[in-house]
Amino acid sequence: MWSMQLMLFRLHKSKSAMSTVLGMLIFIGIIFTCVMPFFLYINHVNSLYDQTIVEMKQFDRDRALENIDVYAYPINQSSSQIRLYIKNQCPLTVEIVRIWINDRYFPYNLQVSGMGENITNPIDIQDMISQVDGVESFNAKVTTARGNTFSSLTNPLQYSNESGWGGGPSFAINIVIELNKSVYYFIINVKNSNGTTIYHDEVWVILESSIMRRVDVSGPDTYTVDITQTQGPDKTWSTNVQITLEEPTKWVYPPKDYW
Amino acid sequence: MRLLSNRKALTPVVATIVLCGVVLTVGISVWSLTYSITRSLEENYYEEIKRQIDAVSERFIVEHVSYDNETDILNVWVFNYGEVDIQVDVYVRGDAEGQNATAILIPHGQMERIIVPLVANMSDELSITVISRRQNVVYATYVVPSS
Repeated sequence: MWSMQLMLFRLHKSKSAMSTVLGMLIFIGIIFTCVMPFFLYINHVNSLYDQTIVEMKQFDRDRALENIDVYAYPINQSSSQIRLYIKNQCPLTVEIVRIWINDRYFPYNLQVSGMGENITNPIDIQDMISQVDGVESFNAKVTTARGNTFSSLTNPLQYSNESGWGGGPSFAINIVIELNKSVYYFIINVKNSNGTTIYHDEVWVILESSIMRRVDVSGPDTYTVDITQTQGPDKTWSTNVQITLEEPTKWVYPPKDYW
Repeated sequence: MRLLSNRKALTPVVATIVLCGVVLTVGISVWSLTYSITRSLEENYYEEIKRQIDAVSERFIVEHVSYDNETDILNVWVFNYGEVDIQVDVYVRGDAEGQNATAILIPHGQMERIIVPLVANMSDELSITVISRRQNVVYATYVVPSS
């Protein structure tokens, strides 16, 4: 206590205290104008880094969630145009940025909303099929903006100059219904030779120019495809499809003007 | 007048002024030095963190691969779906070897075809490594199909 009083008395009497005060002010000035802003700035930059990490983790999670089914199909048996039917199986909107047919790509911009579906415009591959000698396989895939690629479930599409588009390697019936843009309600049934229904689907089509459904079948057999359109007067179109070991995949095209 | 006539009083006043001047000069110098050092540290720190942010923001894939057996060229399409531009080198190992280490620039959101000259045969298995200049790596495999 005594020593403190003595120190304060000396400080009061000493003129050099002025310099001490100035020095202290400058020191405090340095703390407030240099050191503290420095630490605040460092903290801000660290926050930016942490924010980026969080954003990229979210981006990677979204990317891992992306899941779409892609079905590439020729518009008709001898067409040089291919469409892709894309069914989004995840809750996120998926943006298609490119479509690949074999080693050639077509820049594209198509958004498929969460759990929704969409169909691309026709993609013309006339110059690719004009070079076909014998039977040529075409593999389609799409690339999304999040950096995923999804191959078509109908790969490979096979084309020959003689018979046009043919099947792929697995047992399946691909049903393609071409339409004028309007409102339709289709009931699609596929039965095997025993009369057992192996596929049933009811689908609203609103202002689409085509729909495509792939029906996986168990093996060689004769299957009956019934397509009924119930919007307005009912119209039913039927055909028998023979699946064999030689032709395990068949394409079914009801006439466009039938509906 | 009294102060002027009292010569003894002058010395402490001058000494105090000189001392204050010295303290101010040294203090301002120290402040200036500290200010420039912290600014420089800030800039360096930001640059370093920015580099790290760019490195963790990089995202790219090998989108497609094809081999042209007429020109003996392996085409590797790399898609930069991240948010920063990247520069990549491509190395191919396996049954055939080749590389393109020319730091191909791929702007963000773009895809580039990278050409790797090599001689491969049908059914050759190739391991493709794409390394960015920020040291991120993406791998892909490719089997050379029949023509």
